[in-house]
Amino acid sequence: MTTTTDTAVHDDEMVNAKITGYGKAYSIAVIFNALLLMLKESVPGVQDFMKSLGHHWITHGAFVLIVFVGLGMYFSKSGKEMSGSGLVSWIVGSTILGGLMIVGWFVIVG
Amino acid sequence: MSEQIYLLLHPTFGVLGIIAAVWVFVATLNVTHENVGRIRLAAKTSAVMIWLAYIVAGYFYVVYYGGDKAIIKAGPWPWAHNFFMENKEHMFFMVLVLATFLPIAASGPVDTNSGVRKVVMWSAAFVVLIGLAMEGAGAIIGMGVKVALLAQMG
Repeated sequence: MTTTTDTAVHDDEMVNAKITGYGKAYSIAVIFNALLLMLKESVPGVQDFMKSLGHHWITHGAFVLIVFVGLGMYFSKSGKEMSGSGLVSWIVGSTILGGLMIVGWFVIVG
Repeated sequence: MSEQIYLLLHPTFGVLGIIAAVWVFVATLNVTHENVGRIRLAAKTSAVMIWLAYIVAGYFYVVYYGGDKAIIKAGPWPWAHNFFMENKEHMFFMVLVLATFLPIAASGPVDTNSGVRKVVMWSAAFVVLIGLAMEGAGAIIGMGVKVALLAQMG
């Protein structure tokens, strides 16, 4: 009998902790990117704070990269592996969701 | 370096990053023990090119784009900025981070691990798709400036 848990997936399908960690970090960074856009566009104080650190777009990019690198290092060190299919679901899902959040924001609000 | 050079370098680096990502996708689809090194080289090339596109575009955007933005918004295609530029500004971070992730994914055992292959191929595919969307948006923004200047000329 087979199960769908990662531990039961064949070794050939398991992705190492570094790739898993940075893949998950990408997914979170992409959603963070969209949420930060919505926050800075709807709360003037947030955009003012970002501008106080430099151009708001530069600051925005720096925050997204810090989230990616920081979480990537953290998740990698946790040593947790994931199946390739599972990680692809994270990457595809977050890319579509993050893209739709950005486009949707400028269609509805912008 | 003139303003126009930045506008030429940005899509050029972007296209090179996209082509390298296509190379990663196709080579991973046909992976053998012999071409793993080339897959990793192509993944690094894609990341470097997308980063160069980001740096050049970032400099242009911060230093020069304000003038173009005012021209576009006063012209017949204000949505070239309001929709396409605004989307491009923020979706570029997605392709930037994904292109940075691509060589990390390709550092795994691409030839012997089907899971790593799936991750590499999906990541490369999205670098291509988002990259092409960025190229298209850039073309529309450029046209936004042109039609606005043509309208000013009467």
